[in-house]
Amino acid sequence: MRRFYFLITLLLIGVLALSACASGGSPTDSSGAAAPSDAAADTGADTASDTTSDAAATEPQTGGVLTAAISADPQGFDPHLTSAYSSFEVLENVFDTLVSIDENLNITPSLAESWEVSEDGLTWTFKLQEGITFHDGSDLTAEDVKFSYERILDPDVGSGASWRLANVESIEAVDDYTVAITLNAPYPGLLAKLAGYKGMAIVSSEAEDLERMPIGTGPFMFVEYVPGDHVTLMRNENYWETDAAGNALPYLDEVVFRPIPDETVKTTNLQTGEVDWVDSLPPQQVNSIADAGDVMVDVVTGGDYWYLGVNLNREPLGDPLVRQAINYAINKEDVAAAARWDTAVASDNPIPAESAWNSGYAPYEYNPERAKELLAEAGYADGFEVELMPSSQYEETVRAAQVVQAQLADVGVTATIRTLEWGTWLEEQGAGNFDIYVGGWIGNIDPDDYFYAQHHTGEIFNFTGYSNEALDVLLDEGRAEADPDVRKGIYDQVAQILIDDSPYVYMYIPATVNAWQPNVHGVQARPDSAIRFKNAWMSQ
Amino acid sequence: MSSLSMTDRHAPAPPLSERRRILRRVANNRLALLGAVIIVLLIGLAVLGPFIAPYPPNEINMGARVQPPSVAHPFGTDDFGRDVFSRVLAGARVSIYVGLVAVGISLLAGTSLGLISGYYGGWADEVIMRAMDVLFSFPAILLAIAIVAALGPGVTNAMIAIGVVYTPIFARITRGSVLAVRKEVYVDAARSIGSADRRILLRHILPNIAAPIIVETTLSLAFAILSEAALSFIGLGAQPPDPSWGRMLSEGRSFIQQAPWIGIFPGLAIMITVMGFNFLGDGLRDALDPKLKQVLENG
Amino acid sequence: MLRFIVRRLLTTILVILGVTFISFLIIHLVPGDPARIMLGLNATEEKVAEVQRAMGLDRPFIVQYGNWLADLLRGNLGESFITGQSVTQAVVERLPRTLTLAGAALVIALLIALPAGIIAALRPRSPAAYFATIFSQVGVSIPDFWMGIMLILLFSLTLRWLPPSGYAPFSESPLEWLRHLILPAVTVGIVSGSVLTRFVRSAMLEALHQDYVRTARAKGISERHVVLRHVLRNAMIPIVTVTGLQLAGLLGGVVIVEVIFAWPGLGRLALDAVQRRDYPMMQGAVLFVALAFALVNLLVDILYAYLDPRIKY
Repeated sequence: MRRFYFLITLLLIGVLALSACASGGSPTDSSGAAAPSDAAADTGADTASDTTSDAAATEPQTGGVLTAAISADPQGFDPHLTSAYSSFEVLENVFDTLVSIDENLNITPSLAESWEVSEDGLTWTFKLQEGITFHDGSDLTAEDVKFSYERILDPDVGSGASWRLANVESIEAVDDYTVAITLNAPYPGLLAKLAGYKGMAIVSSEAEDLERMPIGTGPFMFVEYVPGDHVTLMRNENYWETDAAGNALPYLDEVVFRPIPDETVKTTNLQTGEVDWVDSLPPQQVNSIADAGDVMVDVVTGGDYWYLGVNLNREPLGDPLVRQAINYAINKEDVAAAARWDTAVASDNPIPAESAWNSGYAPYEYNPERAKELLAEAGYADGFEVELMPSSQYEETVRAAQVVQAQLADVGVTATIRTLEWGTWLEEQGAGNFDIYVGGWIGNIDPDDYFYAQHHTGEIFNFTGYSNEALDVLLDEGRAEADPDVRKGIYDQVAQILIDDSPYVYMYIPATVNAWQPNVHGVQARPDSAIRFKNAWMSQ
Repeated sequence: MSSLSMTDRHAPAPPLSERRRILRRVANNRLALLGAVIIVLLIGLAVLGPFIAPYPPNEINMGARVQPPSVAHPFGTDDFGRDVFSRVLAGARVSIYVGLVAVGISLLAGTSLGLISGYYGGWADEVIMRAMDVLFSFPAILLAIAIVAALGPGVTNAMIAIGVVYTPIFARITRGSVLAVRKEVYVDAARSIGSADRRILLRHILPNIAAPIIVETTLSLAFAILSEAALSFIGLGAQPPDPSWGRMLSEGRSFIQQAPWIGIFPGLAIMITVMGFNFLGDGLRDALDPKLKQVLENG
Repeated sequence: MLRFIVRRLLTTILVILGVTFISFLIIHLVPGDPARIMLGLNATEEKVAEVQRAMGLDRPFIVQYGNWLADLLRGNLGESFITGQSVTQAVVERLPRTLTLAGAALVIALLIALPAGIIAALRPRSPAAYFATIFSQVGVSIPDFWMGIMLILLFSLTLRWLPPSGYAPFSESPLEWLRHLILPAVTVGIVSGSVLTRFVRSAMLEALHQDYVRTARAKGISERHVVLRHVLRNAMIPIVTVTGLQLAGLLGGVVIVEVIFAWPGLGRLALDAVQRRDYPMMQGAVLFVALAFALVNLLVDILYAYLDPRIKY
């Protein structure tokens, strides 16, 4: 039997290279600040290393209430039901997953202290830590894990995360502290699907009403939610994890989340000290706020990418030459700058350059002449008309669309913009009523996350209508391949096919930006945008 | 309004036609005159804007982002490097369009409903006015979102929503005025010679109740421009890259500290235009009111 | 009077029913599906259909409305599609906050409008009158979101006098409650006060030129007495009407200010509900806005009758 202990599994997962500033020590005190541009690199590097060195220099203090400003009201607290980032910002601190993911996107043990996979790659066996309790005092057992995953898979529950368990055949509680997951095909990427995303949270099998009273095993316990105003979490005195020195975690007494919808107002709240931490800054102010030095700013390249989704069923967009022409026609640097100022990098490739999974394939440069040639070759020398569909929900898509529109005009393509309100946008995207939509994929970790659901024939998120047998075969192989080198080779091919064929016109990779008061320590912006206050503490 | 023009009413009637008297009152009211001048200027800008503008309003120049006002860019550039001055000029057209669509709808629908309601009374009145109450007690912005979501985005649909929201006000004003003149001698006379209701409404009643409607129209034009700004705030106003003042202002709010000119110039344009309509509306009210009152007193 | 009130109550109920029906109709006509929004980007068509069934969205529209009405009569407004929270509880929690904001704004508006409008009418050529006119014009032509942010940058960021946003319950700290209330209330109050100033001024002018004022003046009664006893009292009637309309309008009109100031009121609840297609929540919010609106109008009418003895119902 071939065994994969958790350290080995690090290799299965995309490891974002650390930037030079990182101390390179143990994962918990390295900053992981991989900055997307020179300007941002300065701010990211400076502030992040400042805070981490502070954190290292002083003994963490216990106590205090941290007030965190978030952009929107949470939309429900049942981790298996909600899909809103604002909900997960809270739930991240209330629940744990079977395995976790650190700030460098390495898989780490969590509720499961170790695991192994059978030689045929079909059975994964997880050993749970003993003595972990839920917030209601009940013990965490294998039954809870089984219950949680089966709940996610239950069609009547309607969890949006069920696709993450798509290959799972059954889940068995072998004994109180051992869980076996049987797959119908080998799938080395399973751990990445179980980790990180709190939609995979382990809940108590006795939980009555997660929506109103989310009971988890996490560092903080849910106290109250006053809609439109705040969510309060309280320290879990019985939390199972300790820091390196053996002190109990978490350090904070309470965390209070305040939704503040307007970005300028949210920023003012940070600058005036009304809140201790914010989940984002207006992109155009990141540098000036970081330079002012009153607050700590951390910028880190994430696993997100923003792109144009091209409807292949519409003429002339079905022609790959036309899609390549669009790639050449767009100055992606301008698009990134318009959308996010210095906090995004233009990219032909959805996987960030810092990632070990990046193939370096980026064939397009801004070349309107080449675009015109390709259009002429495709029989559209005089251009054509096309509609761009951004959503008012994500202002950056509207901003990107305006630059794309102007640049398409330079090669004779007349683009109009139809900005839709979120509910309508989702409906139109689902129904295929678009020429080109402007969208993003958020929180990708494993290379499979970047490509499979988006481009595999017949997949639910394949809104472009792309279908390529050779690619399907590669994607299926990539899922099942255990050897990281072979796997890398497969995904290099996948990236090349998709970038050449361009059902998605990749535009840019944004950074996650968090900011906080100088007296807050032990927090950092993470590439997966997870918000964790487990190690946070405040100096008095 | 000045107290002088009010006392005019009690002096012996001047040998001027009614219309010229009103015109003179408007002309004597400095603010109303100012309002009229502003609106003429606005229309002038809308017509001539494309010829004056130094740049195409939607021309993106990422190499010249957020530049402060200068000779090359008198109002500076926005965060896409677009010339704010050219965009403010082009925005005049959008603003006039916004006003015309929104007020056109509420004026047409509201006045017709108000006429019917006031003239016929009874059941028709009850049904129409309660329907107006329903519309009126609906939170305006929610109705607008719903209508935009249903009809699709764009400044026209946004303004249809605003027009619908404002219909009850026109209906109420019209109805009230109709009630006041319904029993007038000339209405009775027209009825006694067998004129059709339609003719009575359009030829005899409408001209005599025009004053408050005209005033409300000018005031609603100002309201429509502000409403477009409010809808832009939630992303449902004019479609980008169209340079509506409301959208420019709303986008400029995140640059107040860094590049205030992005929001301030369209903001000033809105303010001046809204003031223009309000001055004119108030001036008209002052000038027309005595006439309306006379009519009321005679009835 | 009693007959009038009874009749008004009946029509009010009809109007409110109308409002709920229209909002129910519109939200169902609007594209975008609560099931799809709830499931987010990760929704399959089957999942959407399942959730629709669970929510009762697959039934005919009129049946859904009927069910909603039946539940309403039992005092049950249902539960949020998104958070499962009780709609009644959410609305009852938030209505007072919006009333607080609207009420405070109205007080500020009147504090501005009464003196400004009266001076503008009594001393039409004075600098104070011009100032009042300019103020009311400027105030009315600045969109509230812009005014709000300017006030926040000035009073919170630069001067550090007041918190930029948020809400503090009165029961916990009256001082904090007040500090959080001031900026949003002033934002709304300035706009509202500008509108009211113009009405106060024209109502005063109207009253000034009534015959009884001339008579009183002719009798040699002091100007002060004339203004206070005759002019103001008569001008109050239209002022009360417009003030009532303003207050009613504010109940649904403070939405954007609530967003800017992160004020947890009914307007923001309704806005979120529409955007998320949370039908029950949206219905509940619209119902209460309409109720409050109708109630204010009713009060104005009654006050009207009280102020003006000539009005008989």
